[in-house]
Amino acid sequence: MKKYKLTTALSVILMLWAGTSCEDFLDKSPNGVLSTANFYQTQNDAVAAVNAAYALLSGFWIENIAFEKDIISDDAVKGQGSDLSALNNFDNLNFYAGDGVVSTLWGEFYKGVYRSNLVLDHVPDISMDQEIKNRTLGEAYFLRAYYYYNLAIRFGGVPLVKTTLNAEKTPSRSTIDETWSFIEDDLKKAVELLPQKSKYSAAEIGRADKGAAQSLLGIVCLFHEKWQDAFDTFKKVIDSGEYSLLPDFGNLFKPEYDNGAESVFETQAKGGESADYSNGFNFWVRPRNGSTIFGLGFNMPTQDLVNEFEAGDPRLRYTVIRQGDIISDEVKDNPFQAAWAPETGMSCGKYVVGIPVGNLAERHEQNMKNIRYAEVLLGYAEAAFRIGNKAEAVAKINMVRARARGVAKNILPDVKTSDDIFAAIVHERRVELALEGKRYFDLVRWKLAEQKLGPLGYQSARKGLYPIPQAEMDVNPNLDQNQGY
Amino acid sequence: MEKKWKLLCLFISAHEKTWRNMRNTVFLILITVFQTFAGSSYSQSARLSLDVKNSTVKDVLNLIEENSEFYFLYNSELIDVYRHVDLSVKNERIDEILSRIFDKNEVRITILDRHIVLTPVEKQVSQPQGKLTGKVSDKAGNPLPGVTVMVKGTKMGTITNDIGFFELSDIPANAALIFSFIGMKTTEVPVAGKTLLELVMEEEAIGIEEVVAIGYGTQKKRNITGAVSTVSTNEVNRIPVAGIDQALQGQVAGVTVTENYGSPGAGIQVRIRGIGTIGDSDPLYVIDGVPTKDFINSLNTNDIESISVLKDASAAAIYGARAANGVVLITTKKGKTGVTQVNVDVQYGIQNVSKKLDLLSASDYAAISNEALVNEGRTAVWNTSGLGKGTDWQDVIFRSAAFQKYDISVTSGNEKTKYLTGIGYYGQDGIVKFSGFNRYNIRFNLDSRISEKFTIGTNLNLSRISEDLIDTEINGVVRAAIFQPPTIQVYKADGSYAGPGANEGDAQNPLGMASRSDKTLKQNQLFGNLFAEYLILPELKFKSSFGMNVYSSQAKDFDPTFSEGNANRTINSLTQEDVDYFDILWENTISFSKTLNQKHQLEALAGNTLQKAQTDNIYGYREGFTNNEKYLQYLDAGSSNDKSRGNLKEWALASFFGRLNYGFSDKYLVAANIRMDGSSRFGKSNRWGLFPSASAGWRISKESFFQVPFIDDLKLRASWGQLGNQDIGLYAFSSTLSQTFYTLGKDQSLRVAYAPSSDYNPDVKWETTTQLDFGFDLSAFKYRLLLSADYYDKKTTDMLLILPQPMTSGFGSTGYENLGEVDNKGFEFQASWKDNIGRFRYSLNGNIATFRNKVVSLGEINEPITSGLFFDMSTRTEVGHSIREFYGYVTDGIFQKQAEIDAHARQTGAKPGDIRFKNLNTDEVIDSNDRTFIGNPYPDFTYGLNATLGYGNFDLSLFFQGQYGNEIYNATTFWLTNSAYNYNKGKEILDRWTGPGTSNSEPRLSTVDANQNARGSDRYIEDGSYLRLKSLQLGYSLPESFLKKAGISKARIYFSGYNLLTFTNYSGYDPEVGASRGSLGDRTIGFDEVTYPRNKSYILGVNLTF
Repeated sequence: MKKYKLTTALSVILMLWAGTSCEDFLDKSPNGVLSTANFYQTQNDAVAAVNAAYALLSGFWIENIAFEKDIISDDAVKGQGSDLSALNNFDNLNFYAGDGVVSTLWGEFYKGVYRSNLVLDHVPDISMDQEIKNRTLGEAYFLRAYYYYNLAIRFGGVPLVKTTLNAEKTPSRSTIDETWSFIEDDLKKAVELLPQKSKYSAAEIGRADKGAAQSLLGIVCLFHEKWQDAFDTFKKVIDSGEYSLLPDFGNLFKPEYDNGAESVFETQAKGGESADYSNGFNFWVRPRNGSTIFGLGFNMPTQDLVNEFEAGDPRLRYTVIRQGDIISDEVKDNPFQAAWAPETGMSCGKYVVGIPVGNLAERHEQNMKNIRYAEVLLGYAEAAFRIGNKAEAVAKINMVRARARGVAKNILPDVKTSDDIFAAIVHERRVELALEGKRYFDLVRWKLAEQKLGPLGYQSARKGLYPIPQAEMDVNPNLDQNQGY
Repeated sequence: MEKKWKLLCLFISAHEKTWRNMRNTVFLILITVFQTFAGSSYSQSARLSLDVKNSTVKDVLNLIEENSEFYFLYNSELIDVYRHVDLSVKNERIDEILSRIFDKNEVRITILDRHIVLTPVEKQVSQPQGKLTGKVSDKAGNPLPGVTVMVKGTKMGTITNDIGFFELSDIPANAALIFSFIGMKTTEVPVAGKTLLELVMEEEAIGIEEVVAIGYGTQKKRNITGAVSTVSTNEVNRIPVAGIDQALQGQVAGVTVTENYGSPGAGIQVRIRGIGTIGDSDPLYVIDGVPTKDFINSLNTNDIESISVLKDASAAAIYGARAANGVVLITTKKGKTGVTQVNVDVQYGIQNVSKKLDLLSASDYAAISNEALVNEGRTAVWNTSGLGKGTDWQDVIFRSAAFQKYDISVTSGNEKTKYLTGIGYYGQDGIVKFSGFNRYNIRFNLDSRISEKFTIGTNLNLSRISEDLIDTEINGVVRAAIFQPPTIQVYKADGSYAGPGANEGDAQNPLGMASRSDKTLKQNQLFGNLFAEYLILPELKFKSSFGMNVYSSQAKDFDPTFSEGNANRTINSLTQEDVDYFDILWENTISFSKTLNQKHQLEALAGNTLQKAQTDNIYGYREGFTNNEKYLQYLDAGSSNDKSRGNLKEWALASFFGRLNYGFSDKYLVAANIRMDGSSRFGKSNRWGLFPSASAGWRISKESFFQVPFIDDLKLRASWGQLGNQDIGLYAFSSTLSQTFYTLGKDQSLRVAYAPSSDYNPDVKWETTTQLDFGFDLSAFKYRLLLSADYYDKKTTDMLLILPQPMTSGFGSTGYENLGEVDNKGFEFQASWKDNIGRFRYSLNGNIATFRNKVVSLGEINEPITSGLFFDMSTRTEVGHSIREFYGYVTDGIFQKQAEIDAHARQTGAKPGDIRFKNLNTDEVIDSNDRTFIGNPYPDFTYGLNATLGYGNFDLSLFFQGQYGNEIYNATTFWLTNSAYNYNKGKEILDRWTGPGTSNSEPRLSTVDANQNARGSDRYIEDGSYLRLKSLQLGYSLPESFLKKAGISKARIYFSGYNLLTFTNYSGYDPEVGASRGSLGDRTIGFDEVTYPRNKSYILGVNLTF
């Protein structure tokens, strides 16, 4: 009776089951997520892939605590007691190979190299709009160069990973010359492939452009001491007419001047977004005083930096916040108090002075100024000086000084060809680019680091280089450590 | 009394098959049951309508059996059931119907509720016996209802009623009665002319006759050749915890259970025979045949009948790819034949924090802060006078919390249909304010013999959990209470929460944090199966079972804005996540069991299962709510940063398995298992795995040469087998891209970006554990002593490892690689003794287990794996050591003078008063290369001891549990002794160094800590050994005479204490330190970073049976 019916039902189910293959039953792939197997096939894929190579620039280690580069110089100390103790060793120039921050930075830059390589490996095979393909490849060459540049200034010659396809797992280090040359080659390709800044539509502004590639190439040539190349390259940027100095230095860091006339290469930020997409730098360096001034108070400027400014230099006001200074109109009733910054009594002014934060303290919309036109002019001046063209050098230094001077009179007199031009360059770069992460690497390449930083703990045996991370040495037997570690 | 009644109509019409079978017989049966709350029985209230023509009596009786709850006991040789009858009745009682069928001069009809005994009226009986009445009770004197009483050699019999009485008529004086009842020894009693018979039934000797759940079946304990441990319900129910896994602690040798932290419903680590792998070490749970690795919390401990832990490969191999970490089989309570029983269990209690940390008073805090500043050449900021004790933040957040548990269950059944149904509520408020856990359960277990060969059944659990959560992990409320300086008041003058001011750090007000952490988790689950069994032959059984696990959860977390001094949040946000999980299982087994020539026992099993599951989840997030009011805490009210996410995850497992057991004369036993698993978690190249095992047992006590009088039974066992582990996430074989964004354009818009999220290995395959086990089971002194011992050697090969690789590859670590080998070895002993001296009953049950975990290989270059825990505190997995031993610097006292610093290896920043770290290598500098292994989180042995004592109506049980020889990395001390932070500190900092000779352990105070005194070192390593009185229960069973009047058959009141005493040298909250960050799993085991402490509770309970 009933049992026959059930038996029949069961046999039907059994037959159905026998008909489905086990392998089909077991084939499960992720839903709601792309895989490499079905990616890198369309123009949109190509653009999304290069966007990912940019994305690391706005991460925590490369952007939010970018002052890692300032506190190792004589411009600033870390500040805020034992907080963020991971950076203590940077402040004291007391690196060691086991330092997690050094290792993380190394990893982040190589991740950037990897993502750039993915673009360079796959995009050439995608059939897509040639103009966009060129641009995308140009961006990837630029970004790979930018990440290698960041590695080279910190670690010296590094392993050069040029592809993701069957890449060597344990590459050995290239010399610093090879590293610079590789970066220069990438940048030259980028210069060829990238459009000028003005050619970008409003929707695409913020991508690397020809001027950015040329400017970075010039900067790299300064490090590589290829003076004529540096001069020629910077000249192209200047002659392109794409850039000019903002008339008012005080506007430089205001969000409304993001990607402005002086901007050469910026890390883009969207206000209010989570830390990965907005800019947290403002929050980290803004004075810390509990609930009234929302900031963490790191990167405190030193008196030594303040002393470098000539009397009346308006840039000081925007670079260093001192006792009694108004931070911005938003909090004008709470002038800065030295007590908020126990280490130096001063607070970082760049990215902060005159900038309202509202509710977006930790998620600001400011772009990070990686390269701005003033640096190009000063780089050009330095190259010009090195090849004996004093007139050009002085002219460009004075352009920067004139902008700083603004409408004021009787301050910042012009530099004359009879002056010590090198000293003028050293001075001008320090005050113009203070707290923008340039000083330490300038001092090292000028071989002034021991003289200036020796009292702060600089060890000349290390030649200004960070240690190769111990974690990396442990898994790659082909790596040699830098001297002095 | 007002009668409430319910009408149950069952209308069954004939179908084709019946038509033919019954030769033109048409029948109609209609049963109406008038049910009343008290008084009338089923036989009185059930009404049947029946219309049959020319049917045999047997068919009519079968018809009634199949369509009602009645069943008949008769001997067809004595009663003529083959004669044909016609019958047409409407709404008649059973006795009326039967009187129409049988002549009362020929057949005597005894109706015992649902059970109807038909006996012939003997015309001429030799030595006729009158009426025999009797009473059956258990050892404690409780009446036993539902005991089957049969006259030996006949089908005559009856069952005992609700007070244990039975009545039989016309029993020959020379007859014998056989009494049988589940859980009791079947007893034969000669009538020997008696008219009144009282029997005390003995419980079946726990041990060799016990039937134990094993994979896909049961087996008599005496025949088991693998390592299987069982836990009974009594032991489990005594512990007032939400989860069954938690209740296992200390009960089984070789099973280590650790709560992650003390919040109600918190995660648990269950480890069977050590840590087999660096990856997932959670065991597999099989609840009434349905395997699962999650959601154990939704099971009501009160619903559990028994737990079997399959420890060795031979026992577990039938679960193949998921069995490497052991298998826990959970069987829920089933209905029982006999009268309806109602059980009510009520528990109510109070819980308090088991320990408070000794922290600084406000004045001490200020003085210590000042000294730290002055030591670094800065000026003191505190005026210490008049500060006094200040706020005790621990008192502020902790409370006496209520515990409630209510369970009602009903069991009933006849020989055909049995069921258990029940409802349960579990409510536990957290000892930290604003936290709590609630669970509702409904259980329904049924099995029904549709015909002699065909049985169907179901086991269902319906549950709802709702939790109020507070942050318990790092950055949690408890840690905030430790951090918050005592100088701060709880409330400001206006009644709002006060926060830290200048020099008081930046921790949130802990009470404020708990109160505004509007975090809830709701979980609904339906878990169960439906099965059908068909006896093809008496020896051959086919079983098919569908299992289902339907789970959904909703998590909601609103983070409000607040401003409390230095601590504030300016953006409020709401996160909401919905999960829908669906797991379906279809399982078919065919089993064969036969004894040949009374010597050869053969059992065989073959089966297949298909299981697949999917998790659908959706996540929403918004920010910028106008205010923090409750009515706005919904996504619609958020104004910015609208984010949503969702995906679908799936897995599937197809398996075939088989088992063969052979026993010769109950003396020589062998068993073999095999399972083949195909898993969706592996790529096509390595999808299928084969897991064999074999075992043998020798009951040496059965040999004629074995002549040890006090030994009842001794069995030697050995087993070998291989098991798999597939827990590497679902898609480790494929390379997935993660989505991120980069801002571009004048309008600053987010542009999508894709890049591979991690490295991967398309050829990843199973991790295999090969296990060898030797053991014996001994019963002695008339089964009063039971002893089991095991030695095992468990080797995991092809261990799934994620290894560090050069970051130049773009990733700091590889995908899963099958490298590495880990070895676990250990001894396990379990012993029990049970006896009574007069009215005094007692039992002792103890277990102890050792285990040693050793990493044998970590891939080709054996690169140690260091994983960070907290600041630079870390663990390291290295060949020759246990998995994840603590790794750090070794301290060597304190530099008393500058000369000592000068004589020591270069230690940057050191000043007199700072800690001297040992230079462990040859270079003359203290750096990260001077770190070494400083502690092992795994105990040398764990143990448990259960003692029960009873006298008359009183019973007392004590349960001790503990472990020995493990170390704890006490990160709490990092905060309590660290003067570089403006947080509160522990009393131990008062012993700091203040000049030569003042201290050799607590360093000088410093706001900067240039010497890094706080670096990860053996300073924070403590002995984690402990012995704990986990539970104590004192019960009193009310006398029967007293209860009868109230209509109650059993009543027991009891008092329970939980976590009453802990003996330990550990200085933190609790030496039972699980994984402090649940999300990191085993990575943080033994690492204590101020999480939710455990409670101590006192509970009063009542257990009633009607």
